[in-house]
Amino acid sequence: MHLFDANCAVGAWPTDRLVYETVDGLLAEMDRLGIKQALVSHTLAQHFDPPEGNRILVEELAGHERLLPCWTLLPPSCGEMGTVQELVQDLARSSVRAVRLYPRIHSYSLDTWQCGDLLTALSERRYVLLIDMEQTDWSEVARLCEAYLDLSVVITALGYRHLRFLFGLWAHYSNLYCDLSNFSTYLGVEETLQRFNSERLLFGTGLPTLDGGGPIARLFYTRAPESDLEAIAHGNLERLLARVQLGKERAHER
Amino acid sequence: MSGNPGLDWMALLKAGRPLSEAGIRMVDAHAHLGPYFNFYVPRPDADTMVGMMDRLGTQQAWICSIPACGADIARGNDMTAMAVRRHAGRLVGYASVNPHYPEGIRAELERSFDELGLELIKVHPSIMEYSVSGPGYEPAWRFAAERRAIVLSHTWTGGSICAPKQFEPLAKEYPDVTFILGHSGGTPAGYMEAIEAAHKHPNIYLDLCRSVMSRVWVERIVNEVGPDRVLWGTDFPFIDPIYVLGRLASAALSDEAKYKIFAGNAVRLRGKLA
Repeated sequence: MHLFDANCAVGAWPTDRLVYETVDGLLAEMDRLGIKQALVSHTLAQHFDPPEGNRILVEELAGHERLLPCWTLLPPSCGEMGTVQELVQDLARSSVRAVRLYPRIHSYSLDTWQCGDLLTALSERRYVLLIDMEQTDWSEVARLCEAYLDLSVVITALGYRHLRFLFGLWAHYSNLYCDLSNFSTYLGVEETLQRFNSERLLFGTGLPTLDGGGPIARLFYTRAPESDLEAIAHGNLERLLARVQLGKERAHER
Repeated sequence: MSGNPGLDWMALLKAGRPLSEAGIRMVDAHAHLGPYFNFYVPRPDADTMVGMMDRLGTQQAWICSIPACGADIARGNDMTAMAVRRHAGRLVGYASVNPHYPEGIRAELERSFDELGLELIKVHPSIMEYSVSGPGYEPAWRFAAERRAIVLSHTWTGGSICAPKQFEPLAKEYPDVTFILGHSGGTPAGYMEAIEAAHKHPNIYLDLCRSVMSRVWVERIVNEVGPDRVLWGTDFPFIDPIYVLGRLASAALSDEAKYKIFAGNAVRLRGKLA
């Protein structure tokens, strides 16, 4: 089965030893685990400087067709990534279809007064937005899903304590998704398939700070029709990425 | 030893079949039973748990019901015993104790072992908000020494409730008690502390029970402590057991090491109780 990892990174890490740090290391781990494609962020964009981390990511992923870039963004308030218009042009120029936000550790608000213009622009282009659970809260996620209906909001590294919140939101919003990197409530996947459908889940590992074997086992030990497993393994992420509209900005490339 | 040499573990995981079909034995040394107030757990009953064990190929799980971890010790021990009786052989029971009532610990352990048929001891100092180094647990250690019992404790680094290093004086004072450090201290700093404790004391064992852990640490714990001193535990149904299964099965460790951790060590330890 084709595995498409929605959640992994390259780069060094300050607080732990890693399975790998480099692109070659990531590819070796993907080969070891049998993962075909991956959406990749750079840890430098998380722990050093988002613009520089994104630049290095594009440079390091060049020529690796299995690896798709996922940029880490900042709000336009301080102009660190240019204006919103300049930023979406940069995203299109680098063929970036998925982005990450770290509002907690990067010290900003997701509220309209700070991120409204950015999130509106991303929603208009149907971007995939990934946020680690520890970087947000459920009221914030609800506001995102409500205000930006064309944004695909993917909660990564969920943890095992959140199904009451998650199922509550899933009952209202179809633009909310979760990856499998830490979807670790007992029978949580089965319960999701029973109450909702397989479109809500994306295969993701959280490598290299998390582990690939757990999510792979989680996927393949799910008793569900093959079509559901295929959707989680790669189909859902492919569908979400295909929705992203880069064309407008590409037409205005300098 | 069980299983065949040179197994393709990734192929086994992707087949999604019970690992017992490949000759692999599995004993889950750290499991629970029942719901928990803090978050939703779908179908945490014993029958469904055994169904999950069948799905994975887990022969046996050592369980301590959730109320026995804190909410109501005696009621929880009864709940554990009821599940153990219903699934004899598949489920083995931990008895728990309340360190805030040390005067009642011996009687509750005697009831649990001699009447209810529980044979292991579990303590959760964190939920009880009582240090494992405190006098409230001493009756449990003395009972464990008399019965040469296995004691599983929740451990987490930092503070003075249940950090791995706090088990060093206990392991020294009670050499006939096998102490399993649940979660191996819980964080990278805790893993190092747990490894150090296990290095110093042969009756300290570590388990790999974590909701998240990179394979770097699975491999490091096993390589530093040795595969004879590490146990497979999942926390299920508190947490999904499949992640911990996949993490160990896919780690870069020898088949021999995985067989010991998945079941061999637990079978050996429990065998000493007989």
